[in-house]
Amino acid sequence: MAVFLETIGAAMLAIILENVIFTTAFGTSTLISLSKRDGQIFFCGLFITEFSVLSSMIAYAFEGLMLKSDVSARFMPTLYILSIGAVYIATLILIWCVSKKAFKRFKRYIHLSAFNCTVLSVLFNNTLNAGTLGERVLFALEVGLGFTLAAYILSVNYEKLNSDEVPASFSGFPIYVLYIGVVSMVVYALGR
Amino acid sequence: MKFKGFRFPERKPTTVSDISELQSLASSQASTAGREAVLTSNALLSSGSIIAPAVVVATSFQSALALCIVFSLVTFFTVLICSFVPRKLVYTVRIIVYTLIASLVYIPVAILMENIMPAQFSALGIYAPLLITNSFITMKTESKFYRLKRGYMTELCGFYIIGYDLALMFFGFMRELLTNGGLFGVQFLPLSIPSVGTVYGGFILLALTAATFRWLLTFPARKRQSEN
Repeated sequence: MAVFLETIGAAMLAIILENVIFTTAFGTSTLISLSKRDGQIFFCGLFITEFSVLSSMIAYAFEGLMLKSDVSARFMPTLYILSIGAVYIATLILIWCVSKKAFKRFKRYIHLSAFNCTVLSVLFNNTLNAGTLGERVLFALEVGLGFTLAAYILSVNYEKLNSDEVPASFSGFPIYVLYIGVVSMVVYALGR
Repeated sequence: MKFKGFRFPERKPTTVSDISELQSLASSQASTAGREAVLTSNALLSSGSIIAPAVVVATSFQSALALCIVFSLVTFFTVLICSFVPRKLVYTVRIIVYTLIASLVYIPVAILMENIMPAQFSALGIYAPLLITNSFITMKTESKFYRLKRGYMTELCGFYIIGYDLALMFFGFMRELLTNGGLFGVQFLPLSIPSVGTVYGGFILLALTAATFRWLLTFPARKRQSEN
């Protein structure tokens, strides 16, 4: 039990201290663009986690073949896009089969979650780190959950960030980035 | 603000005045598009698109320049090639095709960069290939560019790219100046703020730059309002 709790604690710490938004800025534009919409950022976090995990697994299966020569290694981004594309189509078909109402509701979030640099960065980093399949899946989970956590941190102060007290020059995008910058500074200080 | 494709009048221009009228219309359209793309809807400073590479790797003027070259070439050629993708294809497939084409366009761009700016390109790390899923390709193509006629779309896309590049180079320039107290390795300011070179420093400087940019953009309107 103690080991389990320690593992959970370490994972939580990693999600905070190595948060994808606050330490690498991956997906910041997606996060800000989502925050302007209607509070469905958690669904996006969920889909980003799903895309990261499943496309990591697909890319892993073909990676060895692609990295055999310098020429085919150049096509790694194409492999990543095909992996994400396959998961994207499969997710849409699955949701459509389960519920057409849910399909209508989620399809634009699925699109936003699939083709952004958060998911793609997971695949690139996995190849660079050359970990095992388990390590890759864990990393993908960490990134997806990190994105969701960042979305939560942004949504907690959503009303304050959009209040009339914010000077006109800072309203909207600048105040979001400033807020993310301050949180990023806190994460940086905690990590030292 | 919506922009429609330029339409020539039905009557063919025959006189000098007709041609000059057309030229002035075209130039006014170009100036409106340029104003929109560079100022009012600037991708980096107004819309907050493609933030990650700006915040993390654009820590100097040269790295910003390298990023601009990769971004401009990949985005412009992808948008142009993808404008030939039939609209009959379903949206889901179109998006995959766009990013797939971007990943292929990236290959010659990477080879070019490895030859002209090897050190700066290498410093970009994975932020360079990640540009294949930038929002110009995945979102603006569908929401804006492909709703326009190809000629005007190419022009507008070019302006949007120039707008982003100018903002990014200015950002890289400011960041290098503040981080090192100078430029290109030569220190000439008495003060340097190394934190500006960090990720959080990048976020904060970007927020301040975007707010100042907006303040400057709205300054004439505010001045007119206070005069009235």
